[in-house]
Amino acid sequence: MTVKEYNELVDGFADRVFRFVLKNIRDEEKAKDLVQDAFEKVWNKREEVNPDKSKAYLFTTAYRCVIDLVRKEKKQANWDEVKQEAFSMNDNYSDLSEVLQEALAQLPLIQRSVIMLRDYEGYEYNEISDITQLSLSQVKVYIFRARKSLKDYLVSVETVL
Amino acid sequence: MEKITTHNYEAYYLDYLEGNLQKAELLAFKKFLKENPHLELAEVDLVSIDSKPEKKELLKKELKREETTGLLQTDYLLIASLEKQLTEEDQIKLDALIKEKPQLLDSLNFYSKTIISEESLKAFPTKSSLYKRSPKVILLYRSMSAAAAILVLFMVSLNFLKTESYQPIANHFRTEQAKNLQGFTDKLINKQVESEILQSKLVIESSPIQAEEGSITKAGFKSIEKKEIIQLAAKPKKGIKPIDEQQAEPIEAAEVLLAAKQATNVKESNELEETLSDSLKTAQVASIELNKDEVRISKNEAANLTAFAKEAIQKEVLKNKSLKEILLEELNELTNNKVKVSGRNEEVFALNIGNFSFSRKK
Repeated sequence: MTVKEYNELVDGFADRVFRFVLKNIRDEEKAKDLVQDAFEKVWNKREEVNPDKSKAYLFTTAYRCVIDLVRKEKKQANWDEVKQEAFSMNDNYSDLSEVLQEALAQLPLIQRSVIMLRDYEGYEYNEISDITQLSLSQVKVYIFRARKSLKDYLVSVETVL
Repeated sequence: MEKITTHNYEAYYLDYLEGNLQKAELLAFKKFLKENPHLELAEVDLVSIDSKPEKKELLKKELKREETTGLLQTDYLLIASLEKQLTEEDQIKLDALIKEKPQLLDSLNFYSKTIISEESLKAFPTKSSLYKRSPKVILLYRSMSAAAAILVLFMVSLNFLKTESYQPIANHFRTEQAKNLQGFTDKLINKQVESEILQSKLVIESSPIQAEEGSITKAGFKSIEKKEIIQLAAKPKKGIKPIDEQQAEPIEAAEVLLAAKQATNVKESNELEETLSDSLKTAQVASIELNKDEVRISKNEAANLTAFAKEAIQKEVLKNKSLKEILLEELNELTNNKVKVSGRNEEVFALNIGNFSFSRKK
């Protein structure tokens, strides 16, 4: 990867990676640091990175940074332990997008990550598998469970409203 | 059984269908369904199920879990449809389910809303810090290096020229320590010269050959015609000043002899001729020997008295002699004791070479 290709990667994907990281850890300052780290790691490995797969490499690096941070801070929420009653619902939703963002924020880290990679970045299952180092069937399971959780949340909110 | 929740209500429902629920459990199940009307089961007529075995089979199908995801079969098929992961067999199953239970379309609609649409991106605040510069940086370093190299060369050449003007050539081969020692010695010599000159108010005067019918016009003589008060301390490092080309023209012994003859009106004076000739030759030889190790005085350079004094002291610095003594010794040696060096009194010394004389006054 040349300097020009690297800078194009910054131009094209810095904002997207920032969103990906920010939505996962919900701390802007830490998200900035993680994005910096991710790009720095890409730069350090630029000789090995195929320019055609630089975006996937970037997201892989960012995802690992997020995982490392979450493990370090032991912040990871266990979806299985989250009781349905524990959902905090905001009664002031103005549109579906806000409801969905709220639902997304309550997903476990892995489900949230795969859903964002799927919906925001448009990755296929096999690409998500490469980025997250999960098996194809694991990616499928996480996406399906995430959809189910999001749908249940939407239904519950609509019922409340 | 444990308390009914959204996670285990299917089990309650199966038990209900099988008729295995106790009265209290049945009441709890009905209450749960009323509190959660969004659940698909809430729309089912519980009373009528008991009487329709075919519907029992349908509900059993709905309640079955998909193996890989663990989701209900209906949920799995709806999500798979949304994710375009349906096989042909799954598509047939889903079509059959929707045909038998059109309410599933509402569920499909909810699932379609779970796809997160592209929202406006929040710009990464410090994106500019991520950019890397092109190799122009290296070029800049190269240009700086080149500039530094030129500067060093310039300084070296400057130092070289400066060294050539008054430092011995042998210095080029000295070690750093020796250079430092030399610098220290030079300072001592300069200080000594300055001190002695200031103390004795050394005045070296020269007078031209007394000419009755005109004076010698050679530039070399002109340069020493007037009195000079040598302030060595004021110019301690000033080197030997080369004179211009006209001045640098060497004075031939014959010319001096002729001039001396004219000046003294002696037509045939073998004694004077001999004395002058020997003196000049001796002085030339001594001058060359004196300067060959230290200051290279070429024929194009004229040694002034400052340089002479400095050289003399530099040679004799370790002998603890005064400038006066050193000068007298040097002059005697230089002229091979053939010129008379005498003091007019205790405070005045003079050097006479024929009519050419130097004097020193306190």
